[in-house]
Amino acid sequence: MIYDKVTLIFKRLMLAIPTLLGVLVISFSLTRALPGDPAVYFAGAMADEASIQQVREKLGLDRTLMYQFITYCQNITQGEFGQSLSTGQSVSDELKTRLPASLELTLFGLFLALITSIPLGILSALKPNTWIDHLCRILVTAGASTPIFFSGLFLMFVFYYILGWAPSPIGRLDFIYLAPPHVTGFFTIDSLLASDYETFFAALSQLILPAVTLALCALAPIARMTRSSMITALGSEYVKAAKANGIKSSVRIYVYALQNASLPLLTVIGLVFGFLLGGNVLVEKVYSWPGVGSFAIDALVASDYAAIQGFVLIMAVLFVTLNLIIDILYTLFDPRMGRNE
Amino acid sequence: MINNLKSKIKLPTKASLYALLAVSTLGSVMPSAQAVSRQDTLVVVSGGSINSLDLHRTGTNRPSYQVAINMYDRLVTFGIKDTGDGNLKYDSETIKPELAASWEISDDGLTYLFHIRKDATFWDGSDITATDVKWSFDRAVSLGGFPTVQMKAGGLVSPDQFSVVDEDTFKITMPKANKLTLPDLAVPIPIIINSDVALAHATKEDPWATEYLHKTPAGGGAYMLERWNPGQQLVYKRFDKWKNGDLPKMQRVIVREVPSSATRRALIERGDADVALSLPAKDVKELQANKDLKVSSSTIDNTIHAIGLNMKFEPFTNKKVRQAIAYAIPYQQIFDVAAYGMGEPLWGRKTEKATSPIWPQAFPYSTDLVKAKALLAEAGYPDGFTVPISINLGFSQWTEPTALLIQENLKAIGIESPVNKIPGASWRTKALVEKGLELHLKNFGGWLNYPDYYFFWAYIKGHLFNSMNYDNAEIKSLVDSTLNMPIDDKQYTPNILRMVDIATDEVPMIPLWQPSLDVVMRKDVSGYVNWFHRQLDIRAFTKE
Repeated sequence: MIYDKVTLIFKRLMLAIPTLLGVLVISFSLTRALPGDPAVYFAGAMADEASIQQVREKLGLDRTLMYQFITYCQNITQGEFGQSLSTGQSVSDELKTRLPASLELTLFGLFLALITSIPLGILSALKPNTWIDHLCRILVTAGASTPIFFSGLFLMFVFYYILGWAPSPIGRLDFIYLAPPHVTGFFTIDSLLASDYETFFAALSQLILPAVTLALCALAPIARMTRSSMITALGSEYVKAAKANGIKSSVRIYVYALQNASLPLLTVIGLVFGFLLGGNVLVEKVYSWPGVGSFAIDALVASDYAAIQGFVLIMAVLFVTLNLIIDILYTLFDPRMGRNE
Repeated sequence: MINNLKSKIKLPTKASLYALLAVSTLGSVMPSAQAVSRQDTLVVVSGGSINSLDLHRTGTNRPSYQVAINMYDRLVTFGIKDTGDGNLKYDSETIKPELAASWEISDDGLTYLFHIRKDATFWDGSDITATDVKWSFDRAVSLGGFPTVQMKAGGLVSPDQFSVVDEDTFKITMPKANKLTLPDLAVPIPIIINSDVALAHATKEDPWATEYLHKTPAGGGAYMLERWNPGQQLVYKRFDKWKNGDLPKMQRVIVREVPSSATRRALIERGDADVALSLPAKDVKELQANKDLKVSSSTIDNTIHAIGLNMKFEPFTNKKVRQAIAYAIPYQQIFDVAAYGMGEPLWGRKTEKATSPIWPQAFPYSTDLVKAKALLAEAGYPDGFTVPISINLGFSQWTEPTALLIQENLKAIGIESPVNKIPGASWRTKALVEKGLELHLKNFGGWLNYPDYYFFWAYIKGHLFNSMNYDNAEIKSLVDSTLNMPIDDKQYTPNILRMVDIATDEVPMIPLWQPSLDVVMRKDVSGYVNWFHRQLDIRAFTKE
């Protein structure tokens, strides 16, 4: 059985390769299809025909598409993503500093969402149509119907502007602190590794408001999915059989029902995570968070080919890995997987 | 820091080792950060992102110009004047020494001799010499792109024009006298770079050290780089031995990138920032009433928000149609709604002919739908036509409401005008390079404050900012003869008046208003100067 699972995982790994190749081709051709001529954009306000042509040659945009694609692939194999024109940094450097910023925020936001929505979902499944179920429903509706930029601005308005509890929303750290020595790129973890508790609390306090904003938005699908899959699981025959056999209710709920209910939940969490990571541009903008989302949007507006391609590629790798992890977790959680093949 | 250390001493060995390491490495960096109090530090929140520390590099964006302004010196600079209402503005009519202590211009205007300050040094302590000036100017005219084009505006095109007379004397020779040469040396482009440092990092493929200077400035300006975290912040620290002007008051200046204007507003209102840049006109208007804040608002020289009428579109080749549209625009409403009344109106002049050679100046048109309809009928379009109105989404704050108001009034005279929204990245290609937008909202500002300079860029066929494809032989010959002419020439004023009159009558471009540059500061901050380049000159700031 273990052998079966290993081959299954291996198969999934192999399947990821054509996906990535496809992403490579698509991201390259899509960026070339974007409106706007990067040479004109980057030649500057007063540029004339000759200097635009100069810029075009410098960027290699005067060569054929095929030639550009091949050089692009060659560079990638050497870990070289090219130079982002709009930020003036190499794309790999940008991703190296910005991806951890986004990941730290997203993971913390997701963590907050999970620790509130799963207990809430379980409780409302156990006591449907009671006050706790209604509370869950209100939270879910509010979370799902409030646009993220609104909740972001609203939280900032209340907790920073009026009450003054939150630190100034100017990014990952207030300017009186220095970034901790780079290990993981997560400021909270790096500062703990350096035993610099002052910076840790500073970084954590900067995280709270944007993470809560993200959590509010992620809460809805997770809580709803927990509730509905728990209700299905609790009403299923194996739980009834367990009850008839006199198994304790806590074991019934948290072992039998929850394990089975966690499968659809995993899928939703994976989706929500992906959505938060790529889609938290508005939170990043409002809280001046130097993440990948705002980087990608700015690159898109400027037709910054290298930056867009790098972003799409790295997001694709992340999604593929994420799906892979979820698939692997599936095989571990679901006893049916990998048995009949 | 001391508290920190104490609490860490009790930790297990490995952790405390880390802590000591952290404290000791921090200790070497922190003193400069800690020694300067909040009182001597200026915190600026800006919406734009600095993408290079080298102005001459391809792709360097507008917010990055401030690095050239504050970290490098030019030979000369413009004076600063009080606009009368307590706001400071650069003075395009006075040229002051910066790195050059004095200069001589030959009577024929063909040679310029600059005497470099003897005591001026770069940050590394080496003397600033004429060799550095020559290398820097050669670089600007040789790299291509924006720096080369801007140098050309002052008649500076080839390294042969620059020569080193001796260590402290630098010479420019001109093939033809040009009134724009000296002012062009005061714009951000002709910065003086430490050529020894730059050359040490130059390579065969990169003889002008663009890769090195992109991330490491090497100059002698009033401020040097403390830290640059791209996409997050730039920290300046004062160069205490700066000799090329009055030593700035602020020891440290932090320019933090805050993309959301709502956040910038919250930060300045709470007092966590000292200066907030590029807030929307609506916020500026509201913040004027705030007692803790101070708003500096003055118009940007030689800049106009306008409507362009493209000659490629058949009906617009008829002058009467263009005039009809000029009479149909709801000027006042646009000014109130899109500009929130900030800036200078450019319509409704009482006299039909221009009386003074100032630019921008109001055109004699004002909203008169009856006249517009009559003119349209005269031109042979009694039932109107359909023309899309194109706007740049990058400036949607003013273009969107303006377009909607124009659309409404044009409908009243029978012209249908659906709004065509174009993303900022494609705007330049479509509007300025292909010049294919029929009716469009445009803004152009000339760095050198001369009307003929504006006409050169915006009214001559083929030139970049003539998005209207307007062609007029008389304007062309007037601009050609006026561009090099000193402003005290007898022919100067009549020439300018004639240009303005043709532009008014033919009206290929309908001016709406002259925009203002608004900056919000805390009450205790002063010294903001409105520069033509619209970037922050932090050297003049003080805090009480």
